[in-house]
Amino acid sequence: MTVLIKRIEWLVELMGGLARFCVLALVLLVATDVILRYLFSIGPVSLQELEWHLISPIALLGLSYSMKHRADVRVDFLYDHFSARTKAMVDLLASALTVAVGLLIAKLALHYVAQSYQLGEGSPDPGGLTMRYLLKAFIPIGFSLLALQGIADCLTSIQLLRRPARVRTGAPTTSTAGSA
Amino acid sequence: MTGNEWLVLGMIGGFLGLMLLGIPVAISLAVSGFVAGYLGFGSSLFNLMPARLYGVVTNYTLLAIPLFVFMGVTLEKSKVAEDMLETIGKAMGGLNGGMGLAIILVGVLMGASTGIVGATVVTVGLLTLPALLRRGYAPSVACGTICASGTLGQIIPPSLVLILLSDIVGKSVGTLFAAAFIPGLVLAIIYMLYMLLLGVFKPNLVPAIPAEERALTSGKQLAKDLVMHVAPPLLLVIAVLGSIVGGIAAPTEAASMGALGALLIALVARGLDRKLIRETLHGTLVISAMVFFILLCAQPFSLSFRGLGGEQMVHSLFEMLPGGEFGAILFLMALLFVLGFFLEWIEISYIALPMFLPVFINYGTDMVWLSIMVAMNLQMSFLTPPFGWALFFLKGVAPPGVTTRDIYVGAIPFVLLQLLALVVIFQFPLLVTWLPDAIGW
Repeated sequence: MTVLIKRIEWLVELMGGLARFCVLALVLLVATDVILRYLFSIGPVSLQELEWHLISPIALLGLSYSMKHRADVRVDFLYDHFSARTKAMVDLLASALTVAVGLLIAKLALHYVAQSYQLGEGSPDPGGLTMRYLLKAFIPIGFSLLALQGIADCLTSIQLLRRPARVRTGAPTTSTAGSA
Repeated sequence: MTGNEWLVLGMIGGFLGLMLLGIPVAISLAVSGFVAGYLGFGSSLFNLMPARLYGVVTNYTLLAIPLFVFMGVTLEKSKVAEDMLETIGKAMGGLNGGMGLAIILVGVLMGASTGIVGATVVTVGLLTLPALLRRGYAPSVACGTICASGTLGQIIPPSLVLILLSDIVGKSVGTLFAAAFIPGLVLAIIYMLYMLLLGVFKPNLVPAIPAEERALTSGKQLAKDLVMHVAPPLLLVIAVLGSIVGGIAAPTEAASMGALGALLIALVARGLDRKLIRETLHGTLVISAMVFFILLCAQPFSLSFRGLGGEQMVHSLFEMLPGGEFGAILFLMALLFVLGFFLEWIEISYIALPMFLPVFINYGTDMVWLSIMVAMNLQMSFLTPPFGWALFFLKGVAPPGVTTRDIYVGAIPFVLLQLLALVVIFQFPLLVTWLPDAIGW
């Protein structure tokens, strides 16, 4: 079980690394575009499209990453007063629901991507980027990863619940400090 | 009531219930939305949802969010913000209440660069609370000042709330930034006047830095520090804001320049290493993804809300209210204020507000004015004991000697000042609308 959790978190971390790279790329790309436009009046459509294309990997690959790092917003003024066991049960419920939501959205989105693929959809603007289905594919990929991270969290909570009560003092503490 | 109306109420109740239990907000939203939608419609309702998700992650306006967050996180992680606080504190140290003034000023600048309550309160709290207490500030005054300065980021552009609100009410980001400019400054000035008055009438609550300690830093050194540590971030924020409000650059463009500028400042001030860049990217990704997480998961919720006739319900609710537009605004403000105890700004501006928006569109309410009041109101809500977020954040980083009571007592005067500011804006909409009009947004 622990091996599976490790594997999943390795994958999420890897994809998170990709998303982190996209953040850096976004900053440099938009800045470059602005400089090119104001200084040299060059503004290729493809570069401008690439700007907002980069939100998808950041937002969608970042979902599971922020979940893993417990940065998701949660309200904890009841949660804080729960016993370690109750906390683990709430966590189990939360991660089970995460799996369900992740899978459902991924399934809905898969059809959407398939449609785009069949049409060979690209940018409607001349000089724009082609293969828009690749961009759309981040929706099912991101939510599948979220479901995977949910599975890892499920397993962690189950492990925690199975342990005898005496050892269970080191329950993970989470906070609302999503933006902290 | 029809079956669907019960479903809407059940959905909202289910969302609140899951959330209070401690289930992540985004997941609570998606689950309650999906359950209600499938019960009411079967699977047909959600066929369009992927297109809406795609709309969220390709929204050009929202592109500004990771960029502004990057700018703020860079200034924070590279300790540029810390140096700035230290220097302004020294420069004003000779004055009773001077350190408090410094915190408010830094709150304005930091808030302006991140727009995130948690980040500002935690950073400023960690940095200054021990120092303030050591210098004999009353714990309550110190805590109140830090919390109030931290929440200033909600209204002082480029706040993330305003970016989201502009998307929701269909105004340009520049308009809202320009509109928030005067109210934000007025509020910061009110805070500073309060500090100065405290310094005059209750100097023992806000003592100046002792002369011996100040003598350690020569005037020349101080001037050099001001140029080195304060001027660059100050100029950066002014340049970014100025170019947006002045209509020279689109918010996204200005944000990218701000991000680049922050990197340069960090490079010059402290040197950039791998660790700093890694931490900055991590912080930016986590904060931005969290915002998008909620925006994405809000889609099933809002689809179900509309599909099940929730908007109609809100309409009939408002029709029962006395007082027409005035009554409706009052009701909205009271409701958002209470919601602010439980929800973060993202949920309020993206989920709660759109439910009520059609009513105000019908009344012909000025959306810019309404948005600024909403932002101001949220800020007040986040500061209000016993539930305000800012207070929790500060409690999390406060040294052991500071009690929850200190934080609550300290926040109250600032809440009242906020309320005053809100009433003033309500009475004089011109404060909000003048600047965008004058610039011609």
